[in-house]
Amino acid sequence: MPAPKERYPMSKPENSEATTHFGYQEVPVAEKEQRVGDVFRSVAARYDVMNDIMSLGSHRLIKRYTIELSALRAGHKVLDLAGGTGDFSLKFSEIVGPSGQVVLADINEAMLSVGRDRIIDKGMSANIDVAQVNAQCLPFADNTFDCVCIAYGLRNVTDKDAALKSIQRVLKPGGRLLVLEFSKPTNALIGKSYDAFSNLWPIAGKLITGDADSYRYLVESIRMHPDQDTLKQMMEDADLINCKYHNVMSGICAIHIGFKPH
Amino acid sequence: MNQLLASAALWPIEIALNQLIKSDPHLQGIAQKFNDQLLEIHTTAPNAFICVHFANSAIRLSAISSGDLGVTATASVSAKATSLLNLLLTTADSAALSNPEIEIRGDAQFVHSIFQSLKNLDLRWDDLLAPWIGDHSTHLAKSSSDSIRQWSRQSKTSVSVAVSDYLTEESRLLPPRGRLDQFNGAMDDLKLRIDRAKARIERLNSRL
Repeated sequence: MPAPKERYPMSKPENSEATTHFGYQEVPVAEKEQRVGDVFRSVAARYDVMNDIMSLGSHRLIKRYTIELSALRAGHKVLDLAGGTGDFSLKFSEIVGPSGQVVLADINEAMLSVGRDRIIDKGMSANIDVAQVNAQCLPFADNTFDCVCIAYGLRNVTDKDAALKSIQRVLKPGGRLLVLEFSKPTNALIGKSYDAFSNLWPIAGKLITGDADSYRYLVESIRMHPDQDTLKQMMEDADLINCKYHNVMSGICAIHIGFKPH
Repeated sequence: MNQLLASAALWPIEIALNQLIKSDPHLQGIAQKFNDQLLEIHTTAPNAFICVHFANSAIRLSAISSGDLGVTATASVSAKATSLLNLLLTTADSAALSNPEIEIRGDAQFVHSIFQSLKNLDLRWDDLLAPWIGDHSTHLAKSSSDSIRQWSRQSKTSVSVAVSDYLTEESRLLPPRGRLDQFNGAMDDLKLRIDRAKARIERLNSRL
């Protein structure tokens, strides 16, 4: 069986321009955004189905727990960053009600398109706005949102520090940031089992979406993502306070919370 | 992890309750009345915690305390699970909330209003069931339920009548309380006399 064709070379760039990681590869900073965009364009249509398969359905429970931690109330303004197919936005919309506002934001137009269609189909577009934005330079006024949630999105951002600073800027004083992301398992046995399980994702991706590369990137990007304490430190460096994290399923995922100071 | 599991356990309950609220305009009105209020319920024996958030004519259940979330609860109720259950089942008015076993913190008026609303609920389970299992099946279920309820009511009445008759019959064979008291007094007196006689015998023995 021939090896899957690679869309990009694996070699390290020869010039001296700044690089960042794209999965296990080192790529020029300017290229990562395009590559991540290609990945999500490729998986957008089957994203939710694949999430159910890869997480064995547990992502729904984790998302519900994240929404509980958001402590949203009626009338709040929420930014669902890297919101993609909009499942968080739909839940947020129910909670904040007609007096509140949800902004579904994503850099990827294909994912956003799926999310927007879903919101319209469910007749819930009254308090949800859709915006194509780059998390590193959010086009919103300072002190706009009561809550910003970025779920399974931060690891795909090229400059995470810039994104965290940008999020901090648009949060209202006292507003909270929630980062739901894959993390480092705290139990070695669970870590090994999870690694073995996640190695199957490219195969599942190939069978269901016809694209193994995108899911290979997914597995690699999870392993390259900062661990719980590093991300907490990054949030503190972005001037967020009272930062803490909740490990979910022995650290396979972690929900980080931080607040903008008053 | 415990919070995650508790969240998982509360999820179907939340869905069922919200379906119930959605299907009943009266319940929607009640939920709307408490909009944006947060009630914490902590039970001991068994130890459990639920945070109820009323939002937009719906409720959200959570296992995370308001303290952990960094928000302020409107009120919190702490009690034994049995006390709370009794409170819901009792026909008493809101004075039942004055039970010293039930601790209320925060806005007591809010708790009082919730209690009154729960008391005044008139839920017809057959109306709720009909859309799911159909009118005919609901009618059968309702008939069966009514028959069981009627049978249990009749059984309870006949058992209490039988016990009452038995006690009445048996009580005729028993001596009246006055005679019984007199008999007990005589027995005590006899015991004292025997004790004295024993003491005198011991004293005579010691002299010999």
